[in-house]
Amino acid sequence: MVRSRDPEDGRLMYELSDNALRALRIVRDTSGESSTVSDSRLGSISDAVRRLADMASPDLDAHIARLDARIAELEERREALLAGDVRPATEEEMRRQFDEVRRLLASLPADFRQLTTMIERRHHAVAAGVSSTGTPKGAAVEEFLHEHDLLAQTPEGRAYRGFSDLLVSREAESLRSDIDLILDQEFAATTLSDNDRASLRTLMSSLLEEEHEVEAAYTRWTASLRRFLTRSSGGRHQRLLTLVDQVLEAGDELSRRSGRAMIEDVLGVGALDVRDMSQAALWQPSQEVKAHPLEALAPSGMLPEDRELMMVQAGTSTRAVASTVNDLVAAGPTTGAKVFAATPEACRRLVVLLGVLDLGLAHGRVDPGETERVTLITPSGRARDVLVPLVHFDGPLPLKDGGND
Amino acid sequence: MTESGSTEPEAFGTRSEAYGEDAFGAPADPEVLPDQARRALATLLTSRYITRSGHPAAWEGLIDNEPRIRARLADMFLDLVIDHEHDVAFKRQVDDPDAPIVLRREKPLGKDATLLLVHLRQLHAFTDAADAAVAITLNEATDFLARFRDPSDTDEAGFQRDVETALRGVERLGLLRPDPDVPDTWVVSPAVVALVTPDRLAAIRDQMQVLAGGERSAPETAPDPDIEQTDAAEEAEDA
Repeated sequence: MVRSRDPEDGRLMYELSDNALRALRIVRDTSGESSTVSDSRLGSISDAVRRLADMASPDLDAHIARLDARIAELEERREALLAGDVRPATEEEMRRQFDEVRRLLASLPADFRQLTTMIERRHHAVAAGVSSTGTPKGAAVEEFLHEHDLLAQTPEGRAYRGFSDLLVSREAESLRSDIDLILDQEFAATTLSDNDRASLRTLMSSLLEEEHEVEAAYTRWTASLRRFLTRSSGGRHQRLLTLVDQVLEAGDELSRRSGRAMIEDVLGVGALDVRDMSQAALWQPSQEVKAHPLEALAPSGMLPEDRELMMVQAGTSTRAVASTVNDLVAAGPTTGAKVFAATPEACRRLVVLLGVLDLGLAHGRVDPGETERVTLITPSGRARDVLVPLVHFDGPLPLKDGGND
Repeated sequence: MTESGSTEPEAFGTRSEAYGEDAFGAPADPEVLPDQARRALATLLTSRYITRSGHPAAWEGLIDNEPRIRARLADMFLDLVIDHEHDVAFKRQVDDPDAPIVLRREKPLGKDATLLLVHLRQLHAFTDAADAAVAITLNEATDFLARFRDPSDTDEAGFQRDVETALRGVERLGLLRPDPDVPDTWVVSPAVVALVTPDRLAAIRDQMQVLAGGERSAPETAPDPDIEQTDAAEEAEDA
């Protein structure tokens, strides 16, 4: 199986490897009807051998002579066609030729996969080579990348480039028009199955798709290799690989001497060493404090500081502020600042000041043109001077039960 | 990758006095972390490590409040390590022999599981975060561990059980995940790169050497200046 990552969602995908595909093809070829030797198969072999001969022969004259013979053969066939002296192919012959085409196409997925595998292997070979030899970074990049992509210089890279060029050449156009021609014939409608016709119709797009996959693998691995070369010659990377080797060596020695063994705290990133709250040591028996029985506390037994704290925490009621106003106006007119100053110090909070202003708006007189300074206490216990509108209280205020402001 | 959070001196009587207050006197309290950051801190403290994919909320809280969480951990003698390349974060004890140990020691890991873990780190040496995930099959794990098998051992079933035990050991650390689509295949967490550092490898090597009854390796010599230079250049590039 070959593992890859889905570009869409990043999921791992597994496909048959090139070797698995070849094995399946061999099984299919040896068990199917296409395993029979035919004139079509011989034609394919003949074409392939002729091409090889053209490539292999250094003798240009011989090459030209073969081309002349081929031209003469084609002209002879042309004359025969014009004279109507050609036997049309039988359905059986066409079927055999189609089987041969299908057989050739069947090998393509494995061939493409092999290219991808070769690219991947090449990447690992280079990476392993650089790691083991400890080539300096500059030398490694110089040696492997030259001026172009590293893999373009390899046999598999060159083979792939050749195929890729072919796909966009005039030959590919000719292939497309031939496929259209075949599909337009009665043979295609009567002899070929739906699957056969579909495979012909999608042949070029399938080839392009396969080619793009190889291209993607090529690009991915080349980029990966570049990144690897960039980081591999660093001291940290070399040290890591050296340490890995040392650990494996120590593991080998340990296996020979004592077999099984346990290694302590391998990662060193354990959780905080508290299994439950009892380990947080919030209470210890040695520091036990005896609690007073509840019945020992009288209803009015609350300590003054506790009462003050509760008032501060819960806020001061409007009724309490109004009561302070009434206490002061009994001796004559007063102002908001004086009322605020008469409030217990710990309770001189912002909320009380707002209560004084609220009562001034409702029952007193507010002089917006004048201000007076009051000192309030912040939650952190600090004193802060603020200016507030001048509020006059000339008479007593009605005392209602009010909630906290 | 690690940075120590700076600590402010107590210049005032109370900490809150050292900070400003709003117009109405409420202190801008630096002591209280936002809920998201507190949850991230709690997750960091109670987990071996967190990853972006495995703990998305905690990861977001950590990234948004990194300096403050780093400072909180520093107060507890812990270093925060964040590997942005592989999206993994964890805490380690500060490198100070006098500091109190606040992290629980993990359960010991079997020798085979430890060697397998080191092998997974080695596999990751040839890839980076931009490459496809690394996976290991049961056959590959078997082949690797066979190197450390006693040649006279003929108990095939027993050896296969040892291999599976080793795989489960690494799986318990959260660094291997069974592939749901392919039997006998495990996907390696990229967190292995951040967690299995050269320092950890050196510690594992030393333990194995002691257990084998041999002498520990001599301390590593001072790094080669050329290598140091290369590293510095790389760090400058990274920056």
